[in-house]
Formats: sequence, structure tokens, C-alpha cells
Amino acid sequence: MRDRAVARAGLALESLLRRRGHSAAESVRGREATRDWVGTRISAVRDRSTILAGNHLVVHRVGSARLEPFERLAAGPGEVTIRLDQTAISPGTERAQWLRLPDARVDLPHVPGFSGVGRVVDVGASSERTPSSHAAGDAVAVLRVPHTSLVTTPQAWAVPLPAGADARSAALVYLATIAAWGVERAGGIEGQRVTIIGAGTIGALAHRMALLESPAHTTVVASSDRAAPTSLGAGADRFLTAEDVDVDALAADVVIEATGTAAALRTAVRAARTGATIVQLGSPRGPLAEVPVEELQRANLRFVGAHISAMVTAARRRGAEADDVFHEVASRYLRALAAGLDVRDLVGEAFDPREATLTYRRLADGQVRHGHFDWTLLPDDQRMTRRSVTRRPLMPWPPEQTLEPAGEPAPANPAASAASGMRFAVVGCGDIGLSNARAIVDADGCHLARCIDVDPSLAEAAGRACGTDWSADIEDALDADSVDAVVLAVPHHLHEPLARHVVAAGLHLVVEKPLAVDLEAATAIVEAADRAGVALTTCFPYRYEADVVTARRLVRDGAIGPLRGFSIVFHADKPAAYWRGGFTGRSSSDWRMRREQAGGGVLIMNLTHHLDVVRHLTGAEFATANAVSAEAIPGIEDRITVGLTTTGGAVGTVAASASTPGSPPERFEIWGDHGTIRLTPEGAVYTERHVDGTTPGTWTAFAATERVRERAVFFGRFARRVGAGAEPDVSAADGMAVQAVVDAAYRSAQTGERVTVESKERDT
Amino acid sequence: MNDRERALGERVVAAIGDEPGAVLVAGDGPDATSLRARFPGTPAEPNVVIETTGRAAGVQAALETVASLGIVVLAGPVPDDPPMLDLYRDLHVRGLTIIGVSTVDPSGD
Repeated sequence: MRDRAVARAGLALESLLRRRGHSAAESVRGREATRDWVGTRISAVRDRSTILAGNHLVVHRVGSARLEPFERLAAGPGEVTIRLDQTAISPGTERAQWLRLPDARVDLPHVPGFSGVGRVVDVGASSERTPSSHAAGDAVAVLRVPHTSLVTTPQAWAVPLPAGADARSAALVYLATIAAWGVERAGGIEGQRVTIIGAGTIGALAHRMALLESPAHTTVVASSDRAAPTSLGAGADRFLTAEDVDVDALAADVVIEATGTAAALRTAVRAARTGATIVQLGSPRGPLAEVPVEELQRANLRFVGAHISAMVTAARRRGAEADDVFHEVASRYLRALAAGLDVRDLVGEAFDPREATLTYRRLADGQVRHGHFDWTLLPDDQRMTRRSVTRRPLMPWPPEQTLEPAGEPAPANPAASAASGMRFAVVGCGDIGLSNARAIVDADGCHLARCIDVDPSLAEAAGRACGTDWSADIEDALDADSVDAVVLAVPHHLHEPLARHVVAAGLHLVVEKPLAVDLEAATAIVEAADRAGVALTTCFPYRYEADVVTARRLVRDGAIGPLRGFSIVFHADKPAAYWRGGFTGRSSSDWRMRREQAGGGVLIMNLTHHLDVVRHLTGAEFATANAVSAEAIPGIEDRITVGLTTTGGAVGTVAASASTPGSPPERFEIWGDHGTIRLTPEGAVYTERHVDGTTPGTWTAFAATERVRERAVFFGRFARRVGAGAEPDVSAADGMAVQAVVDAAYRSAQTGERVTVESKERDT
Repeated sequence: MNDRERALGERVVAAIGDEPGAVLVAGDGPDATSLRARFPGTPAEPNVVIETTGRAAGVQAALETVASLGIVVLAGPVPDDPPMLDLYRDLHVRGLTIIGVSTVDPSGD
């Protein structure tokens, strides 16, 4: 009856978790975590024990590992509690488990790992069989412990570190025990010629352990010569690669095969003399292997299996306790370390346990030969805390968190911001021109001198709205006595001719995007500004949106790693009236319908911001474009899809439509080797790296913020940087780069060919 | 028992040592009779299995029959097709030893 009540309570909890949005798998694990929580408290009260919490590394589904919290009771009779500093990675076995190779498919969730090193934090009462030799604070190597920050274990599994033993080397104790067992299975190697096949962690340890037994000669054979220096440095008399014909002449008395591959077994047979012993130390995985019967019989070879489980069997058969045998072998290894055995080259890289997925991916790709997880990288409260009986259950998923904004980009020169007071004239007082004018009024270090438009009514409306002078004469914008910079917010085909006038007057130039109607005109603008020695920028204010600033910080902190892709989807539902006056109809003109004036449709009108953001976030440069488009108005694409590549090998897409009923939200995502950032519809990041403010392996939303006045920031920063003699944030080259990719996309759409994006750097 | 059979028996004894424990001669290979004369008995949990057929099925059966940490002696004809085994499960985990013993008279007779 009690069991039924417990089962009903568990199901009710699962149901509650599902209603709160957790998946079925998470709800089951939440139920199990709560069951464990209850069990721990019952035990703690019964045994009058302390509850401790730590984190361990869990492979919770195929291809994904993360830290999860857990609770344990402090040490009971015959036990010790240890706070781990490092846990060793067994590259062969853990790689096989990660890849789900045959004979290595463990049930998930699974906590991998085998041994580590740390400090005793609690000692239970001594048991009759194992009088405690531990004290709090002792440094110990721990056998049969997975990758965890904290463990309570039988005292026999915690082997004191002798003085002089390198701690990180001691973390390899379980692998060293395996290697020592392999050497023992050879049946005595003193005075023998010994060959080790394989120079990975197990092979290298087998070699070092074999050297302790005074063989006459050792040879290491490996698939490549990468490990030759360390093998010879460790005392090997010879190093050969498997293809070397000299392997056939080795005539080894003992061959220890440490890789588990069929090819290595064939190499072992070649290296063995008549009557030799071949020890299979590496675990064979994969398909069935051919047993070389003819060679075994012809040469009277002994072929010995040496899995560590057989050591337990052998111990029990002798009447010994397996724990004692492991302890004794481990102690021998640690004493050897203290006496000078050097295996520091096998300790390998220190990996952050919070980046376990990344680590295992690198292991699977063959990028990691040796390594360990370093638990000292975690904050103390994630390594071990004491928990009260009444503390809420630790759920096996990360707590909800949001990523705080990175903050507005700092002024380029704060001192200059007060002094520059850059004076702007805005030419073109349509919708965007008016927005820019208002932004200049709000911007630090900026002054709106006047508003100019060939339509006097628009100029006046803007002037009145912004409290400044207005004019219908372009020459009033070119007065260097009252204006320092001109903003062009006019139809695209007018950018070039007006720009020439502006720079000829010695004024700085801000061009509303795009830089020009086409690449040729953009090039002319850049060259003219350069000759005149004035600053040129393209108005790309999206860079200053809070989420973009946060995303850029994340990319710089390595959250996504090398860029691999991006996806931009843009929808608009432009009404018919848009084509004759924009969205508000304030400025009546049909320039948007004319290819020679607009330069194109939705891509050049709306997507240049996004293309700039991709470059701004990642530093990527576009390499090729492959576009397909459809026109609603001749020469003006209504829909376009562009496949883009970057010089760094990323592949991305831009899909845009100016006539989508309902105008779904925009989507903007970039991703790399290690993570993904989504800017729209809501900013969020997923990363396998440990980056401040995020939890590896989970999505973290960007915190909601007040709207940033991004255009005002744009003009303020332009004024500060140019006033201080620096290049604007958005350089002439930035404007050209976006123009070039738009140009390439249009050429591709026209020809049906994939087109190379023009680049000044590539052409020179 | 001829000289070749006698020599084979001595090579098997040398391979398995002085105190091999329970020994089972398995299969109906060419030397099964002479080897059973030297190693009589059919222990239920042999520490040593002497495989006499050379066939893949015989080798597999010998590995499954022998006790953990035991020895399988290959004392049969060399097979045309070498047996394919799951070495992890059949040899490695149980800590078995496979010893090859030539059934051919070294003198060539």
C-alpha cells in the first residue's frame, strides 16, 4: 500500500513537471531526483549523517554531456568523502563510450570516468577490516571514481599520496592499475625483450610499468612516429612504426598489445619470437577479429586476455579481496611516482568539466591524446556544499537564467565627446531622414545644424520637429562654416552625385544604407572621400542594439567558436502605397519602383543591415553568392534567397520577402563549432563553452532591456571617433563589403551562376 | 601412439604447465584419441580445454567451455578459414589464454 502511494505521488510529480513545460524525459528524471532526495533525507536522519552536494559529469543523451548536481551522505563507517581536484580521462574507453562502439554501449544517463585525485574532507568510523589511515585534508588517489567533484567511497579505494608523488599523475591510478595488470599477465618480464604495441595512454603506461620490472630491452611500436620522442625519452630502447620491416625482426619474448585493433594484433604476431607471450591489454572493439591460428600454432605463441575484470577474478580465486588487490597495485604505482616515475606527459590537457561535450567531441575527432578534467576550475560552491535536510531537491537541469546585456559600447574618446560637438546637416527629410535628424538631436556630442530637402514642406516639417533650421537648397548643407558632416538620406541613385559635392566641400559624409545604388557608384564614393581626406560611413545602427552588443561580446568570448553558418529570414508585407511614398507616404516618390534609382528590391532595401551585422559579429568576409529571386515589379525583386559562403568556410542563407501576408517575425541566427546565437525573434545563446552568464549545453535568453537609441548612439560614436581623428565604427570598407555582396547576389540571380563577391583585398 | 603423437602430447604438457587443473580434450580431431589417452576425464568446469578439430566452431566452443582465466590449447589442424571471434567477450574480459601448439612433427616425418 505504501509502495502504491509512493508510485502515485511520483506520477503526480511527473505530471506537474510536464505542465510546467518540462519534457517527458526531464519529468521522469525530476521524479527520480525527488525520490533520491527523500531517500537521502531518510538515511541522513536515520544515520545522523550530513548531506553533501556536488556536481558530476553526466552523458545524459547520445552526443551530449553536462554537469548535474547530486547529493551524497558524508562518510559512514569504513568510508571517506573526498573532494576531487582532477579526474583522469581514459581516452580509449571514454571515446568508445561516446561513439557507442560495440562492447562500449553503456546505458544512458551514464557518468564516465575511472579515477582521480583529491583531498579527504570527511572520514567515517573505522571498520574492523579496514582500519582507517585517513585524516581530513589528506591527499589521496581515488580508484573507481567517475568524473565528479565529490565522492563518498570505501576507504580501500582511497590510496594516500606519498610525499613527492605528482598529484595529477596520481589521478591516472586506475589506468596505471590496468597497465600493471597487463604487465603481470605476461608472467614475469625481468631480463626479457618486451615490445609494446600502441603509444596512447594505456600503451605508454604499460611501457612505464614494464620498465619498473627490469626488462632487458623495450621497443614501442605505434601507427605513427608522433610518440617517438616521449617513448624514447621515457626509456624505450627503440621506437618503430607498424609499417617498419624491422618489426619482423624484433623477436620479442613478450608483446603487450595496448590498442585493441585487429591490425595491432597482426603487428604483435610479427614482433613475437617463437614461444612468446602476447598480452591483449587494449580492449578489442568492433567486428569479429580473425584469430591467427596458423601463426599461433607455428610459433607456439601464447595469447593472453588482460581485461581488468580478470584481475578481480584472479584475486578472489586466491582468496584475496578485490579491494585489497587494487589498493596494493595502486599503492605500488604511487610509490613509484614518489620514487621518480615520470608520467607527466600522459597527464595531458586540463579540461573544464563544464565543457565536457566539447572535450568528448575533440576526443572523438582524435584531437585529444591524453587529458583530465580539472575540478578546481569550478567555483567552490559547485564542488561541494553541505545541505540541510529541508533544502529543496536538486533538479537535474540547469536553473533558468538570463544573460545580462553587455552594455553600450564605450565612447572612443570620452574627452572628445564634450569638445567635438559635431555639426550635422541632414539631406533628405523623408521617413529615414527624419529619424536620423531626431537621432542627431538626441546624440551626445552632436548638433543638428539644419534639415535640407528639395521638397520645402518636408524640410520645414523636419526642421520644426527637431528645432533647427531648414532649407530646400543643397548648397546650405555644404557650408563648412556651420556644418562638419552631412547625412545623405536620399534615393539610392542620388548617393553618388551628392556625395561628390559633400566631400568636395571638405565635409564628412554619413550615407544612409546602402552606400550606393550599385557597386560602381559605391566605389566612386569611397575613392572621392579618400581623395578628399574626409570620413565616410554607412548608417548601420543595428550594431548598437543591446542584443547585438551582447552577441558580439559572446562571439569574442568564444561562445560559438569558428563560424560555421548563419540564417537570416526577413518578411515584410509592403502595401501598394509603399512603392509611391514609403511606409508613411510623407515623401511622395516612386523611386523605390525603379531599378536605376533603387538598385534593387528587398535585398538592397532591407537586408543590408543584417549582412553588416553578420560581419560585425564575426569578422567574416563574404566569398560567394548564389541567388534566386522573383520580381513583382520589373527590376525590383520581391522575393530573394541567397546562399552565401565566407572566406572562412561558413555557409549561410538570406531569405527575404517583401510580400508575406501576416509578415512573420524575422529570424537571425549564427552558429559555429561550439554554439549558436539567435538575435531575433528573441536574443538567446546556446554554447558548449563555459562563458560567463551561460550554462554549457543549455539555451540562455538575453535579458529584456530598455530600447537602446541605436541611431543616436551611431551618430554620437561617429562624432566622437571622427572628432578624435579615428576611423568611424562603420568604415568605408564596411559599407563597400555589404555593397559587394548585394552586387554579387544580384549578378547571381541574373545569370543563374554562383558568383564571387568582389573584394579589394582579394583583387590586390 | 606414434612418435609424432607423443611429441605433440609433450608439447601440450609444456604449454599448460605442471599444475594445469582440470583438463578437457574437446572435439574429434586427428589427435583427439592420443591426447585423451594422456588427459582422460571430462571435467564439467575445465581450467584447460585442448581443442583438436581446428574448426571455428570448435575453437568458439572451447572458449565458452573453459573457466575464467583458463587456457585453450589449439591442437588441431590449421583451419582453411581462421576463426572469427569476438575477442573482447570471448578472450579479453574473461582473462583467457590461447596457446598454439603445432601438430606437425618438427622433423618433417
